[in-house]
Amino acid sequence: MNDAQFEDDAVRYLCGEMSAAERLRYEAHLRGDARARAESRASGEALAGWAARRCPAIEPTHGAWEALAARLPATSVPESPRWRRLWRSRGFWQAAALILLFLHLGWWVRWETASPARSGDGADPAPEASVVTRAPGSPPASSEGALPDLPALASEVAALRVVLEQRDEEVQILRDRLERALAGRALAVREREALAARLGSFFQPREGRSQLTLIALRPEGASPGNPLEGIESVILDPGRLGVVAGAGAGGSGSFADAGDPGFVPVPEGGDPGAEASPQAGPTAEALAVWRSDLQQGFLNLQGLPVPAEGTQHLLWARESETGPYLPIGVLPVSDGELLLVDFTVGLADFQPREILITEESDRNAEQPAGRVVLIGP
Amino acid sequence: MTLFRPREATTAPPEDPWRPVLRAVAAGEAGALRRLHEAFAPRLLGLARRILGDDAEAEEAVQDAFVQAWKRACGFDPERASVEAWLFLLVRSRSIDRLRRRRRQTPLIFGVEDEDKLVDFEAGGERAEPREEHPAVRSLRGLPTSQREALELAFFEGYTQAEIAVLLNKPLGTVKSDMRRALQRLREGGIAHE
Repeated sequence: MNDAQFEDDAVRYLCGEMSAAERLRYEAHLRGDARARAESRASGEALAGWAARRCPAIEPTHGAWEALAARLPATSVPESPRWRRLWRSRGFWQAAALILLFLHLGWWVRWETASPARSGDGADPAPEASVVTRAPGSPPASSEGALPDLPALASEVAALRVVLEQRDEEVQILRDRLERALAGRALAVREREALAARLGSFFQPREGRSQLTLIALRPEGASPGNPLEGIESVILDPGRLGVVAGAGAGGSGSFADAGDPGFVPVPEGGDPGAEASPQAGPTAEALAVWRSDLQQGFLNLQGLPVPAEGTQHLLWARESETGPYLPIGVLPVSDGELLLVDFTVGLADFQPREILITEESDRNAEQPAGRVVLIGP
Repeated sequence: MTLFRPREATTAPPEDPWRPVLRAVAAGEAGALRRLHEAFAPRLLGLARRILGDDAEAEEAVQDAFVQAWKRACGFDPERASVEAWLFLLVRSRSIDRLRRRRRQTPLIFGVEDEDKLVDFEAGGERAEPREEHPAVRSLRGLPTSQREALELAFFEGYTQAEIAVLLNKPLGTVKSDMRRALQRLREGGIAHE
């Protein structure tokens, strides 16, 4: 890679124009070359600084931080100490708020019923019935200052309302996209049936509507082998797509060990007679489905070759185009057969944007370094 | 085989005053994220507003980026970016995602190049004017350098170099070299203070 090409790549990387495979190569290059990292950093700094100077600052609206704080997934930092997780957990704050509420109410009731000042001259401590008249629809005259003020809960409710409104908007956008995709675009009936059959092994019709992220994986440079164009986020309705339960059930299934999130043990032995295939076959492809509500993924793999001797296929995912890959686990050997794999990643609120299968000699690799077998989108 | 030919000696990245704060974010301290938010949100909002042209959507994009920063602070590599630049590029990326999603819903038709090649025979063979100029081009008319045009279309509008070539009616190679030179000049401070 010469200087001009590296600079071209740097521009395209910083402007988010690279394909997933190109980004992977570029980042691998950066990892192995300190000077390239320094160059890339300098370019990023210059671009960010230039952009910042061209955009006038805008003060965030009132409550922006509270709305953001309400969206922070509390369990997304695995290495946090337990007390910190407890401190951040919603249950802790709800319990604390309830205790405060009871204390406050108890104090108020006691003050209301026992205070001598409330019973006239103080000579007769016996409670008196009180009648307060007010116009219809007007607030009770005695309510002001009497009920406990709970600003924390109020701001939380406000923040949750903002989040719910955003989600509704997102759902509407996705629903519209699906409507258009189903009505007028390129999903031919046969392709839809094939897609539905593949999804059927993961998606149960009785579950009702679900929001799924679909990512098509294929060898680098291969043309699309299914009706998906890269990454799609859809609201799936079993009635609309005609998903058939149990379709594709002839494949081998496996599930990630919950105690070791994302890890799928390699079957001992494998097929001793199988020839190692150094390249992905021309028909190798995969469909990854991610269910945000369950935080669970599903992989439908076809034509995956046996990994070369001393290597294994590792599954990776990442949430952004430029972030680090998260190692998910080792794929079972399928020898070209249909392979169904469920996986989790052990993080809260994960949303994959890229999924990758590489052939690695180190099964504990922290970042992909081996040959890319399938990549998507 | 040398993959990358160095032009200058490697220097260690300068000390980043926000690095300890991001470390605290990585340790799960929401207060540290709030410090970053207080320090950078106004400028990040400005960037998102510039890209999206809508205040409410800009706030959402900035929120998306901060949620991502919260989840990905552990993987931050100080050798590849300062905290400030990282946040800017996160916000830019989330904003462009939203912009592209919006564009997919109302697909653009890039007809400038084809229209430009049309010949109006009734007008004596003169080249016909494009019937309608693309808004992204129109908004940039009058800016002095083609480099800046290309860079703005890529960074703020999310267009690819091939799309920019069509929009500006230039060969792809010219757009690539324009953008390369623009980035070089930015690094040298040439158009940094425009």
